[in-house]
Amino acid sequence: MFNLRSLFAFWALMVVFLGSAERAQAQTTGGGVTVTVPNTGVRRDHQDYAGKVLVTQINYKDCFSEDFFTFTVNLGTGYANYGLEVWAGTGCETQTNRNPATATCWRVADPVAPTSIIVNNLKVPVRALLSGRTGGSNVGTGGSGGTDATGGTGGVDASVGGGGGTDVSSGGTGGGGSASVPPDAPSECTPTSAAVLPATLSLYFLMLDSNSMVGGQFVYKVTYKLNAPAPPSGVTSGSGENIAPVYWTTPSTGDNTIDGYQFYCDPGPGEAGLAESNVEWDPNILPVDCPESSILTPGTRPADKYKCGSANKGSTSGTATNLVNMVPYRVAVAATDTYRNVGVISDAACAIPQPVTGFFEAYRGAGGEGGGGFCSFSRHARPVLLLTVLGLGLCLVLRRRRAT
Amino acid sequence: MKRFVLGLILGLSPVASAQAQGVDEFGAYGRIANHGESAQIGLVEARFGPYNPNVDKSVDGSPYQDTFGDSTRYMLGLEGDWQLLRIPHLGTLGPGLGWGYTRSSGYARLTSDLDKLSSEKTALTIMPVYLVAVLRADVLPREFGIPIVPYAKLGLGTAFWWSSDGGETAYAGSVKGTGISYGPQFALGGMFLLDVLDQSTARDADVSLGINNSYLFAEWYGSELDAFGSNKRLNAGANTWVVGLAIEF
Repeated sequence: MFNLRSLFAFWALMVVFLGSAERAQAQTTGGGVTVTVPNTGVRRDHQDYAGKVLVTQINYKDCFSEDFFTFTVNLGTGYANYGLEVWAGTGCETQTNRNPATATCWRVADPVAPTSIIVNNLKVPVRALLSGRTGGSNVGTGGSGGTDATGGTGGVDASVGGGGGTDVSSGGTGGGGSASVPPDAPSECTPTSAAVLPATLSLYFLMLDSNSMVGGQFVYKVTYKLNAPAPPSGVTSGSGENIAPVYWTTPSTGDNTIDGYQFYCDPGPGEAGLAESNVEWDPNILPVDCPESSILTPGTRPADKYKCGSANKGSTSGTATNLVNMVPYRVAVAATDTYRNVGVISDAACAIPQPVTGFFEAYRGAGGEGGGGFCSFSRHARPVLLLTVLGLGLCLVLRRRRAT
Repeated sequence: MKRFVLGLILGLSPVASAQAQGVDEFGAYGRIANHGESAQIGLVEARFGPYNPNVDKSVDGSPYQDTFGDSTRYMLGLEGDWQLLRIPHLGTLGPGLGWGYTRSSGYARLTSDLDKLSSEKTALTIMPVYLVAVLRADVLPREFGIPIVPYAKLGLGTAFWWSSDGGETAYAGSVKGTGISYGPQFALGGMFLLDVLDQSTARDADVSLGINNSYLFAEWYGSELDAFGSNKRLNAGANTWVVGLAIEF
């Protein structure tokens, strides 16, 4: 039998049940104070490809451009007895892991003394997040020497700060380079291993008392990928009209993170790129060769203004576009990955766009008058047969009507 | 073109009305046929064959052959027929609607030296669509036990086509390289009744799937999609043969 009161009671019970389940998923408590970061409480200041990638993803450009996270943290009652600190690393809820001598964690934001249950605008710089990595793990330790292949880490200031401030930005990685990032890459943004797969980094929002004991915590996971794929090899180009077909051999590293290819041209695309380059050219003279480029140096990552096309994952050819005929271009290719990292460029090939005659031009040149769009109709076409067929159809209809 | 299609549909409408009543001047139909077969209402074909469009027939010179060479291109297609009328001691008659797809590609030539190829791809894609009246004389297998069904098709074809250079829509001056061609279309062919090879399976297919008969077929067809002799339309039709598999249901 229908009972409205029972129905309300059932739905109230469901709401309580679902609400508690949601909270259980969103928060982790390590003591007497609840700490939560709602999904809507995470923002990025200028994330690369914001809205197209997860807010938790970090790529090289995010690090290079000094992007930062802004968190809103919700606290439970009793917060006034604690300070809020944000650490990155492994097992940061354990005090010894925040101890400089045995640290596996590093602090990534200045400590906060909460004045209400909501802490707004807690900023965590991406570079600070990435500063404590070493060897591809999340462990922040003393510095190690870098190599050209992997880079190394410098010392990390992982001192415990129960309430006092610590300059988190001072921790940084040491020198060393990587084949997949430019030589001038900031130390925090340099990969610490040759691994190409994304890595996960845990952020610990800790409520710490005056003895650095944890009174509550929340763990937020981000993923980062700084290694871009190696460039393709065997890059060649050819002639097209205002374009340059580009061909390459995919990198033999078996990098499954490759998600596409980016083309770079010198001079840059369009009339603007040509004007900026100061290249001398004559629209009536076909150049015989391309001069060497000081922009497209293999192993570097040119500025975005030199981008002149892209190709999808799995392609071995593509088209550099918006070029000017009779101008000698150098064209290079970089691989891109699932985190939108753009790798360093390959050797540059020579391309000289020039007018070509495709099928449709040849057809029109031979006197054909077709074309002009799917909806185009010529006033000079022969409608007689069409009208005849239409008339026959009409006659059949009329004949049938008479019969009935 | 819309008027033409409308006219053709209107022309067929009296017959459609007759079918709805279940009776026409040839007698009743639309019910279980002889030999315990399920009702037979139509046929679908999967088609494959060479397709070299008649582009060069409507213009001076040979732009198609010069661009794409003389190697054979192929077309994939589908056709669905509605077997509207059963003509006693002859076969079925009804409208058929077909669709196909073919693409030719090659390298554009350097304008400065037409004997030399550039690295830029140029392509012509054609998607023929046609509406035909189809007569299938299945009297031979039905009344004489000969597993052959000759057939004929006549109607109008059209083709959507588009040309590209370097992966982008082609232009000649300001004229866009896309269009629609139309013209007459006919076909003559024969189907071999596969049911005779395994009658038990054929019966099962009818009982479980409603497939009355299945055929292998070969057909010669011609389509002159040049707007009835004009060079105002790219002649995207072809005179060629096609083979395929057909099932009646």
